[in-house]
Amino acid sequence: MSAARPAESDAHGAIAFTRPHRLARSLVRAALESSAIALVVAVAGINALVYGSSLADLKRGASVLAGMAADSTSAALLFNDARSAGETLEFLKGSPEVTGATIQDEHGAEFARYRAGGSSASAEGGELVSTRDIVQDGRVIGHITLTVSTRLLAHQSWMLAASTLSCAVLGLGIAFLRVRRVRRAVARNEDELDRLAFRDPVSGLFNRHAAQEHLLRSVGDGQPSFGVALLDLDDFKLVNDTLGHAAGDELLRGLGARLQATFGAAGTVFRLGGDEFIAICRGEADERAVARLGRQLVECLAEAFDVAGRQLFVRASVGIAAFPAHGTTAEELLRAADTAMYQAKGAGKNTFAVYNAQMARAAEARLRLCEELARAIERDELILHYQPIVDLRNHAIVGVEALVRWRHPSRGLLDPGEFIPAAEASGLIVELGGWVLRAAAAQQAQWARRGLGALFVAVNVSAQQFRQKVLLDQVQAALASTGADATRLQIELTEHTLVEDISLTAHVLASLRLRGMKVAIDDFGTGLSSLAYLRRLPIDKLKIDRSFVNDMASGDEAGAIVEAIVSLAHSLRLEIVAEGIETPAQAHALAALGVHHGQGYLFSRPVPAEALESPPRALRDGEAAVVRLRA
Amino acid sequence: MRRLRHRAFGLARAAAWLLAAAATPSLAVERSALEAAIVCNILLFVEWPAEASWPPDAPLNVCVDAGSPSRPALQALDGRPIRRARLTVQALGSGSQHCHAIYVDTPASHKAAACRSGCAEGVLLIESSAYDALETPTIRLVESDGRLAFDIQQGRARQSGLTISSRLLRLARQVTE
Repeated sequence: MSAARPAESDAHGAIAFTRPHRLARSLVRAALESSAIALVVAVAGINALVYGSSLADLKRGASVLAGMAADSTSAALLFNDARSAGETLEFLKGSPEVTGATIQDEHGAEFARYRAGGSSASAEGGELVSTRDIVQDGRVIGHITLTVSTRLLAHQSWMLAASTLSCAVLGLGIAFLRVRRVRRAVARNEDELDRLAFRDPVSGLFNRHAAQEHLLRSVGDGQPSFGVALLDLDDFKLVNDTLGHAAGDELLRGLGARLQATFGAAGTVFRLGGDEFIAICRGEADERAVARLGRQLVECLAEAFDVAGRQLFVRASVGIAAFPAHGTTAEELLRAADTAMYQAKGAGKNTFAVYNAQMARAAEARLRLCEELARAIERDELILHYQPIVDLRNHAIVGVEALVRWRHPSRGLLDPGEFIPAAEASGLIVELGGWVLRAAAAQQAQWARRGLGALFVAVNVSAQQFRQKVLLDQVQAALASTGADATRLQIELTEHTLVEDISLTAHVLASLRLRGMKVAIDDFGTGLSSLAYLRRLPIDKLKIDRSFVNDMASGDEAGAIVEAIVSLAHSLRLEIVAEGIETPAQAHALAALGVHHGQGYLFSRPVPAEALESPPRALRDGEAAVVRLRA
Repeated sequence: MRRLRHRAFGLARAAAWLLAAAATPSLAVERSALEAAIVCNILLFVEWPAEASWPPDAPLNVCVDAGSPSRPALQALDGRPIRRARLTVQALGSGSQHCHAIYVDTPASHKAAACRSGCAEGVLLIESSAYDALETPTIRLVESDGRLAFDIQQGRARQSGLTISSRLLRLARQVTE
């Protein structure tokens, strides 16, 4: 996790995500430190070099002077003329750094000396000594010792050091001015990077990264309570697929603005990605407060959005968790909100749910169920039951819909409703779907061997099988391993599955059709009410949802809808099947409307395969099997 | 301690330089030795014509009266290196003898010097402080302030084709043309 400090409140109470220009500061510091080090090294090097060179010059000069003094005083020493020697040494006055000179005869006795006037220099600073032999005609007749003050050299060296250091400081100042300009440019870029890092470019809201940062800094001991609302749009994909991504983005922007306006300074809305948002609201997080938060969120969606010249109504499922009641870490809070959202979705969408411990237990149970289901597939605990689909004109069975059951070792026979949602949520549905396809194909092959090859077997497939692009492979594997007749296998899928990725779906359905398989739209009329795909996709059959069939008798609306669907199907030359027929009246009415096939408890519940094989005579190839109507 | 010893040694040397008008024999001997040493030192700062072409260790003849009191002292310095040459002390004898320098401290040496004054090319005349009779010695040893010093006649030196080092000139009590 970044060490940024994003969660700072601005003057209006809204959260501002800013970072303290770490890169820019580091750059300036590094540049200045590098320059300073380079300059100090250069200054020290130059000064050391100059001092060393000057000292060598001074020594060389002292040696030369000593040589000159030795040469010019040799005669005086030879003639024992100390006065003359002393006078001769006076020429050293011309060299102010020379503080003294002493001539000794060959026996080491002092013969003459010279002392510079006011030679206190030697006391203050250091001095160096140069000694030379006094030689006359190859014979050493004495020695001269010159003492030279290094004070001037030291003074000059200090002056040089001071001036070079001043130049270095000046250079550093100029470098700082230059680097500061670069720093500003880098800081601007950092701001932009921060914006990109914490902002969602589509909605203009803060993004998932910012949400995590904010949550991490909002939890902890002593932090004030707050509520977290996880919001997931229902059917947002349909907007993208039918109106285009630009319209989808426009909707997200409008939604983001509306959500943020709903909370004002009291909360911040983040887009987690896709159609998922999270709102973090400061203040009390008791039961009433979080319920109010949920209502606010759902109610703010009640009004339509103007998108691409249309009025769009958006529905969402909202899960709410409170800090610290439902979690004391960011991860716990998000998990709690997610669990609550799952609950809201299960409760029929466009609603909210506040997290409670029971949900956690339910989630735990779902998890356990998934684990058991995974084992159940391996242990062959699943079986298929088949609900007959009859020709409404003569009630002969023309096919069956395969429906999975689970022979749970402890809970007995479980209906799909008890484990399919968990399988969907966990992704296990893909494996389960593959198993169902294989088992259904095997059953079809077995019936064909027993003379019942005319029956088609309809299999429900999930959106995830499409999404993960495994459906074609699963179908191929099922057909290959069982030898089933592809023309007697049908695929049933919901409208939602159809529109998730229209182009992918079209490709898969076309491939299935090439194998001779038929495709039916399940629960038609309950989904998206978008009929555009009916024309674009290779579909053979519509299945009218049981809710319309059930309501046919109670009012005109359902009957009108059924009529409309039948009319639409006829126009598009699609077969039509009615689900959930429970009464003869429904059967007759549907037949009268021109519905081809029907299924429901009127004809048969889903039954094991063996139950369909009797009476054998009624199900022979080419014959119509009449199912006896129950009263 | 060492410094004191050096100072005492210097004083002793200075005292030795003091001249006594009525020298005792021992003092006279010491004076002769001093003058001999000075003569030897002077030779170090004088350059003779064509000296550069002299072979190594060529004799540099210093002629002295056989009866000169300084002769033993000079003789003691015989063989001393003088730049590329070697000091050779010779007794003044026949006129054909070549002398690079004549030490004049007796009438005989005076006469020999006077004899060569007309043809003094390459001859250095050094007159003892005790003699003081020559009109134009090149270098005259003199007593000054109780010390032995010397005067130089530059004109005479030039006339003789001799070059005297400035270092010697600087030490001279008096330099005349």
